[in-house]
Amino acid sequence: MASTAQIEVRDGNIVAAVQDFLGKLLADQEIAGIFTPRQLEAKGTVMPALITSADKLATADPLAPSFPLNSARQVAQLTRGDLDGGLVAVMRPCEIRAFVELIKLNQGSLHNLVLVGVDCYGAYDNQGYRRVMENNGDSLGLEGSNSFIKKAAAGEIGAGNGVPGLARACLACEHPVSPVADLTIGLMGADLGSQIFIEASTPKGEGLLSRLELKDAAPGDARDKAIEALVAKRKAYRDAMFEETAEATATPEKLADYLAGCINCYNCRVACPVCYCRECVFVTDVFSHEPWQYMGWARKKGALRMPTDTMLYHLTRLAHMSTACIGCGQCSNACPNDIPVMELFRLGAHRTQEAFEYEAGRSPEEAPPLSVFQEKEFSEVTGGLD
Amino acid sequence: MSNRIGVYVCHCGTNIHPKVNSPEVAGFSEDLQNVVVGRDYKFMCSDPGQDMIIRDIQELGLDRVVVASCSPRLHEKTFQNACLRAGLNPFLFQMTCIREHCSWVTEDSEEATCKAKHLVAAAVNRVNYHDELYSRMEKVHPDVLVVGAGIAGIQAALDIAKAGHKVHLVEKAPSIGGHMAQFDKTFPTLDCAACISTPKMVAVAQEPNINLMTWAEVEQVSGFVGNYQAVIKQKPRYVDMVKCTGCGLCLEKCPTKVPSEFEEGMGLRRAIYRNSPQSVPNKPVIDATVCRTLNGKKCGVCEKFCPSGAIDYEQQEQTLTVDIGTIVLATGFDTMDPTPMKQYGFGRFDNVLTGLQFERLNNAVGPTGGKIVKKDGTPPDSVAVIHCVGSRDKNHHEYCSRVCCMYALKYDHLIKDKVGHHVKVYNFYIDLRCFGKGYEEFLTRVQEEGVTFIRGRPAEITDKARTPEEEGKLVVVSEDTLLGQTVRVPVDMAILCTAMEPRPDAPEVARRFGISQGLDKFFLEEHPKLGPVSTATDGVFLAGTCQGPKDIPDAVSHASGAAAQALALAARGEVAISPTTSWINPDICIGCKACIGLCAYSAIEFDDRLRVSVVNEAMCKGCGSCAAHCPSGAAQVKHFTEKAIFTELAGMLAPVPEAPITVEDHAESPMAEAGPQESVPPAAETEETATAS
Repeated sequence: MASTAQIEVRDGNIVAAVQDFLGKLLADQEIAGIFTPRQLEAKGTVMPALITSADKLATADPLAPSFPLNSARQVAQLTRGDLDGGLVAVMRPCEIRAFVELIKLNQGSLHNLVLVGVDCYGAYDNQGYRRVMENNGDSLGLEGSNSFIKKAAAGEIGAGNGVPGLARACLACEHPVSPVADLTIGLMGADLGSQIFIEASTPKGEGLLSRLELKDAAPGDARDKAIEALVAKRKAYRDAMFEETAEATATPEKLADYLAGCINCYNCRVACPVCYCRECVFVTDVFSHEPWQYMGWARKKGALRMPTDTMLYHLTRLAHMSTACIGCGQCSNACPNDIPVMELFRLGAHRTQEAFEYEAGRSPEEAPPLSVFQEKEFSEVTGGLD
Repeated sequence: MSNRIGVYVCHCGTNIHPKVNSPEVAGFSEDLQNVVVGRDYKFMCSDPGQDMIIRDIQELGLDRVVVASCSPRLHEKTFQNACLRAGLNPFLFQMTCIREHCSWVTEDSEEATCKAKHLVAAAVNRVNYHDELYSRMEKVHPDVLVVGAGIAGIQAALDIAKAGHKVHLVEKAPSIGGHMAQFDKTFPTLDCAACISTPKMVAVAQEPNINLMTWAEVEQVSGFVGNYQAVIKQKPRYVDMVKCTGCGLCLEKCPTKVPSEFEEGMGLRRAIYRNSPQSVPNKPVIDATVCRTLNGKKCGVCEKFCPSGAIDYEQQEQTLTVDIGTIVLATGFDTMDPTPMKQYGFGRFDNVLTGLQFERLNNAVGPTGGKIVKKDGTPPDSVAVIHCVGSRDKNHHEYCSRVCCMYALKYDHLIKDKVGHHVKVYNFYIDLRCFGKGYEEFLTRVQEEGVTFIRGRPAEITDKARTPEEEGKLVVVSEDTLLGQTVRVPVDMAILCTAMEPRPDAPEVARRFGISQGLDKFFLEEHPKLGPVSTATDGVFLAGTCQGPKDIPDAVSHASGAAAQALALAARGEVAISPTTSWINPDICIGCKACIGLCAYSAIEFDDRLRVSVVNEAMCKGCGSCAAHCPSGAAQVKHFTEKAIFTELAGMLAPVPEAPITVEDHAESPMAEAGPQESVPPAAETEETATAS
C-alpha cells in the first residue's frame, strides 16, 4: 500500500506548495539537483531546468500549462552516466512514460534518479499557450499556473469557458497519473484550497518520503474517483479521435491527402521523445536519389510530388516507433503545417501495442516487442504453424 | 562517373527460354540506366557463356555484372569466379533468378517475361550500389572437440586422431560405446556388437591423440570457426581414475542395488557401478543420488574393500577450458518410451518389451546371460514383433526410424536360432524397408526361416482371452491389410520396435552450440543432400543419429564424413570468413543494445567506452536480424545495405514498358552462332537431376 503525505496550500498558492516540497527534496543529503519545468523571464516561456540552488526554486513551476517539449530525452541525457549526486526529475506522466521507453533502449537509467510525477490535467499546445498568453498581456507566470490548475480541476478549461482548449493529445490521454514514478505530486481528488498529496509508490520513493517527515494524509477514495472519471472522459475522446482518424486515412489516397501539407522538415521526428536515433535513415544517402531517378519516376506518372518519400517517411516512422509511442503529442506541436500527425501516430501505436499486448511506458521491465523472440506468435500470419 | 553494367540473360537450355523471352529481357535491360550491354545465351554457365562475360568486362570496361539465370545457390559462385578471372571484384556481381522464381512457376509466357524484366530491373538498380568486398582469413586451431562417444563419436575421433590432430572426446556417460554397447548381434551380418565395437573403444583409450573425458559434459561454447573455446564440466566420479585398477571388488561389495539404466531396467546395478566388465574406461563411478556414504548414511564399504585406495568421497566437480578449431557433435538418440501408448500395455504386461530390452535379454552379459526367456524364466513359444511403434505415426513421430525393420528381422532370426525353430514369430509391419547392403538378402533368409509377416499396425495388445487358446497369452489384435480382416494372434511375448527420437536435451544442446533443430527436432544439417554433416554454424559438424535416425553403417559413414569436414578445416589451418557480415557504424549507433539481444549468433558485443555495439565479424553470419531492427541503419549487412535494398525494391516496383522491345534492338550475342549449342554441357541440369531425388 502506497503511503501518502500532504503539503499545505497557503493562500490558494498551489505552485508555492509544490516549490515547498521541491525545497524539502533538494535539502535531502542524497539529492544534488532537481530537474523541473521553470518559468523563464523571457516572455513567460516555460522550460525544464536542472536546479541545484534552493533559491532558484522560486521560479520552478511543474504545473504550468505549457508543454513545449517532452523532457524524457533531457532526463535520459542526465542519467546515462555518472551524474555526481542524486537527481530528482519532476515530469508529466507522458514524459515519464517516454523516459521508461528510453531506459529500455539503454538511453537513460533509473540509477541515482528519483522520478517525481505530477498529476496531469493536460496542457495547451504551443499555439494555444501563445493565445492564452496574449489574452493575459504576455504574462502568465506562477499565478497563471495556479489559476489553470484550479480551473482544470473544476473542468473549466475549453472553448466553452472562453479559454482555448487543451492540446488534443492531452484530451485523448488516458494516463493522467504515472504508475512508474517513485513519488507523485497528487492534485486530483485533493482539496486544492488546503492541501496537495505526495504519494510514494516505490521503495525508493517510500525511503525518501519518510526522510522528509511530512504530515501523513488519507486521500480516501475521492482521489481514485476523480482519476477514474477523468480517464473515462479521455478514453471516450480518444476512441472518437481514433475513429475519425481511421476514416480519414483509410486508403493510401486518403493518407496521401492527410499528409499532403508535409514539407519533409522532420520536425515531428525531432520533437518525438522516443525517436532516439542519432542519425535518421531519412537524412542518409538511402533517400538521396540520383537526378535521373527523379526523372524516371516523373515520367512514369506524368508528375512527381516534390519533396518525394513523404508518405514513406511517415510510414517508416510509424514502423520504427509505434511500439514506443506514448502519445505525448509533441509531433503535432512541432508541425509547422498543422498536419494532425499525433492522431495518426497514436492510432498506429494503439493498434500495434494492442497486437503485442504491450503498453509503451508501462514498466521498465517490459521488453519492447521487437526485441524479443517468441516461438508462438501471430499464428494467423505465420500460417498457423507452431 | 556512372557505372558500366553488363546484363546476361540465360536461356538455361529450354528451362527459361521460351517461357521467359530471354532475348526480349536482354533488350529491355539495355534501356536501363547505366547498362552498357545486354545479352542472352543458351547456357550462361557454360565456358563460352562465361567467356562472353569475361570478354565484355575486359573489352567494354564493365564494372558491374548482372546475370539473370537460375538460383544463386547453384551458380552464383560460378559467375563470381568468372568476374574474378576478368579482374572484377566478385561482389560487384549480382545474380537474379528467373528460372525457379519465374519460368518454372509462371504459366503465361508474357507474364513470365514481364516478371523477369522486373527482376532484372531490380538487380541492375541494386548492383549500382555494390561495394568491393574482400574475404578475410582466420587461423584454425588444429584441435577438434568431439561431443558424444557412441559409435559415431568414436569413429569421428579415431579418424581425426589418425590424421595427426588432437581430439578432445567428451562423453557424458561413465563409459563410451553408447547404444551400440547395449546390443548383442548386429544386422545383417550378425556379428556381435561387442566384437566389432570393443576394439574401437580400446583404440580410443589407447590413442595418444585422443583426450578422452568420460562422465563429463560441455557446458559452454564461445568463439567462432577455427577459434572455439569449450568449457567442459568433469563430474565427480568419486573414484580416482589413476589409482583404480578396475578389479571390480567394490561392485560386489556395495550394498545398494538399483535398476540399471544400461540393462533398460531389466537388471540391477550397485550404487558404485560400471556398465560391463568390457567398459572403456573400465573404472566404476559412484551414483551420488543413491550412494549411502554420499547421502550421509553409514557405509563406506567400497572404500574399505578397495585394494588400491581409489575411492575418494571428497572429489569435486571440475571445469576445464579447451581451445579447439572445430566441433563434431555426436550426441546420439534415445528410444521412445512406449508407456504413453497404452494400447500396447508396456509396463502393464510383463512380457511386452522394448527393442532395447530385448537386446539386453539377448546379450551374453545381459541380465539373463543371453537367454531369451519370459519374465518367469521360461522360453516363449510364440513372439510378436511390432514394427513402427511411434514411427510413421502422426501422433508421435511422422518419420521412419530406418532401423526397426532390420533389427526386427534380426530378432526374428535370433529367436528362431536361440529358442528353437518351433517358436512362432509374427511380424506386424507397415512396409518392409530393407534398403541397405545385404539387407534384402537378410529379409529373404528370415522369410525362409518360417517367420510370419502380417501387414498391419496392431490396434492393441490385450490379456483378455476370447478363446481357450488365448488363455494366459498376450493377444495382439490387428488388421491384416493384405487379407482385409481383423486378426487376433495369441503370443507369449511382444517386442515393440520403438522409434528413435532426439535426446530430450537436444534444444539445450542446439542452443549451446549455436545450431538449429529440424521439424523432427533432430539437429538440422546445412543441406539435406549436399551438406548432410555441416550445420549453419561454420566449424560445427554433425555425426550419427543426432542428425536423424541411422543404422550403424550409416552412422559410421556419417561420422567419417564429419571427421573429414573437421579435418579439412584443421589441416588447412586457415579459413576464409565471408565479408558479407554486418557492420555497425559507430558514428550512427546510439547504443540501444537491441541488436545484441536479437543476434542469434552472439556476434555483437557492447563497447562500454564508446557506448556502441560492435559486430565480431568472425562470428557474424550476415543474417541481418540486427540490420532489420536497427531504425537508424547503423547496423547494415555488407552487400545488403539499405541503399542497395531500397534501390532494388524501387527497381522491382517500377512499371516495365508494355510494348515488347524488338529483338533486333539489342546487341547480338557473339556466341549466338557459335558451335552446336546442344553439346554445351548443361551443368546446371545434371546437378539438379542428381540432387532432385
